[in-house]
Amino acid sequence: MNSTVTTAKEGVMTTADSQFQLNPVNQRRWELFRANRRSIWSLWIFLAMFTLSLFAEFIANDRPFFVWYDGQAYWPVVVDYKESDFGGPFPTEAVYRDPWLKLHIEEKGFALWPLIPYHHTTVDWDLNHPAPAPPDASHWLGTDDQARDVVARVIYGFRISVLFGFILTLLSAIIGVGAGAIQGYFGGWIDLLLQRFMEVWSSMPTLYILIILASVVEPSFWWLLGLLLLFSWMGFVGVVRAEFLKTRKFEYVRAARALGVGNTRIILRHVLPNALVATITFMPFTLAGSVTVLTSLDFLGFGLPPGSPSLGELLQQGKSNLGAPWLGITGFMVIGIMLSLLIFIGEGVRDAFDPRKLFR
Amino acid sequence: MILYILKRLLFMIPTLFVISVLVFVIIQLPPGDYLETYIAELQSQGESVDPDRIKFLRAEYGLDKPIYEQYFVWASGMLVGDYGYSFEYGLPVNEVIGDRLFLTIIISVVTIIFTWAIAFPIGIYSATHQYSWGDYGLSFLGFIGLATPNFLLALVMLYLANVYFGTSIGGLMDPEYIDQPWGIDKFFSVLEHLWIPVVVIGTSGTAGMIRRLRANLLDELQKQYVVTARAKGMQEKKLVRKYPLRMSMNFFIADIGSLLPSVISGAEITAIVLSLPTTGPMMLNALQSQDMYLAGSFLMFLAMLTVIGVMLSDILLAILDPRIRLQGGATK
Repeated sequence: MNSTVTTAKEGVMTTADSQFQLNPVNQRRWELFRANRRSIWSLWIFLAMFTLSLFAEFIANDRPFFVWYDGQAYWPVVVDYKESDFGGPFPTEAVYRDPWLKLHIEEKGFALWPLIPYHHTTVDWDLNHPAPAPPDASHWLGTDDQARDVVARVIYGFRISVLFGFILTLLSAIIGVGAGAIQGYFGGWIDLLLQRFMEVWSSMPTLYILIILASVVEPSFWWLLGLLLLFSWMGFVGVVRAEFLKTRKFEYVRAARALGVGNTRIILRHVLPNALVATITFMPFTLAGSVTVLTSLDFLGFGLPPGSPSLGELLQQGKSNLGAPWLGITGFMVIGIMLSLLIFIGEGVRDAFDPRKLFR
Repeated sequence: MILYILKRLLFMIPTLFVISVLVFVIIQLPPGDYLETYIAELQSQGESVDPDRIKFLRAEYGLDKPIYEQYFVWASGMLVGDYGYSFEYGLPVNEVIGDRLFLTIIISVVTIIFTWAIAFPIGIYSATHQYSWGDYGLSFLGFIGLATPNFLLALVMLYLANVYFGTSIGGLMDPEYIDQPWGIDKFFSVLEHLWIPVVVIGTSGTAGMIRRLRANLLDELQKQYVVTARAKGMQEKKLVRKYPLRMSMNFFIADIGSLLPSVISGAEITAIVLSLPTTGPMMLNALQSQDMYLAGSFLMFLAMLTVIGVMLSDILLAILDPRIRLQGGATK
């Protein structure tokens, strides 16, 4: 990993496109990862699902993404239009699912609807079956008990879960690696103090603490992220600390210190790259763990604010509506597949970074 | 050795003290106290509240005292086995949670035994038969087990039981034994119901442990002393059992420390899903109604279990590994 820095420099000095050339070690890692077919397939499938879900507004929405009306083009997904823009009587926000407006637009133009014409908040008022309605042609996976389309909710729910997981993992990694680095590098009483603190903090029953804290503040995406962050950073500390404890006694570190290099520089430049391998290997598993915690909090009703598209809430509905198996089964499949993919990717990454395989 | 254990025990005291302070602060965090919830409830039912009575209750439970004094009363009571008074149940906390705590401990212990009993042979098989079909199959199952959250599994079980047996698998004993004193019949009834939560809670831990045991054992099997022993004509079975296995036992023991908290927290949410008569659901209730002594004592107990688990694994490790014993457990 140490050579990453030098390669980057050379990249700048040569042509622009060779900047993206991986150094030989990383190239070997990438090859190892690619050789693991289960992992590489998982990676592609996961990336495809995630990329698609990033454009959820264009896949599942209660507005058409393009309207041609009276010789003019409209983009309702990105721009809010008033009903009066389409010849309606009121200057209120246009409701495109309104049959009158639909007909009116059809008269003077046309509307292109997304594949799934429901937003995750859309309540379908004209179900011909009491909600939760079973799957049919208009609702591929049925609706939940508030007559909202399950497919739309799954797409948005997947996006929010994964984004939440990514942000949480990244922040935990930053804090955890920082804490581990300081502990391992300086050792002594800083190490002892933080170690004791973590011993205490990690023996607290996390779930209940989260529930109490979630009842004190109004839960929102960022609050929840902060609360989970209180506990999740500790996972990274152990590995990073061990790596630093080992590395700080190596000759090149001592040489750097003898040459008068500052602590910050030694940590960032000389020791941290060693610890990064352990961190990166850890990340997919933390990601899977974060998604699980979010889902379980949502499931218990202490998670994201009500009305959010959440997979945990879908499961909760599945549990309370055992007569509507499409809810539970959908929730189970989506969560199960998502987490399995992450674990497969994680195993592949771990193997690819394994020095025993790398330098065989 | 005794010195090491004593040292470890002494270390526990400040840890537990800090935990108790933290727990107390956390249960004080939600605004208001139980009496306010209680008054609001009475008023919503249209009943009048006698201010004198409220005053009396407040003084009785020490809710009018400053917070540090409340903490002192709670913590010192805990030392002599008095865990405070549950407002909601109108009983001392000991009586309310005794049975439930006992069941929680039983489930945790049985789950850990289950985890070991399954993970150990499978891990050894996977490592000694690396890249065989059995290894692949078991690994794949292990991945799935690792990826599936506990409560998801619990839901699936609930659902299957509902569809195929038409019964609810919730609970930990047949209904007629609830609130009955312990006897042989009740014991067997609990045993009968126990396997579902144990499987549900134990699966992910088992899967993780198989992965780690396999990796560890594979490392050991590649070492030179194994090659030497093999070259000298040692029987394969004896060879594996005598040396590499004992080396990879180390982490197995070290894992209790991390296993116990994860089993307990996994048990909490699973218990809520399966509505087991353990601490989980009651705790949730206590939190919602701000029954603070009950909630606080619960949190304290769970934290204590974790601390004890870590300590046990440290002591076992010290017994097993002289290097740790002599260094006093410090990572050098």
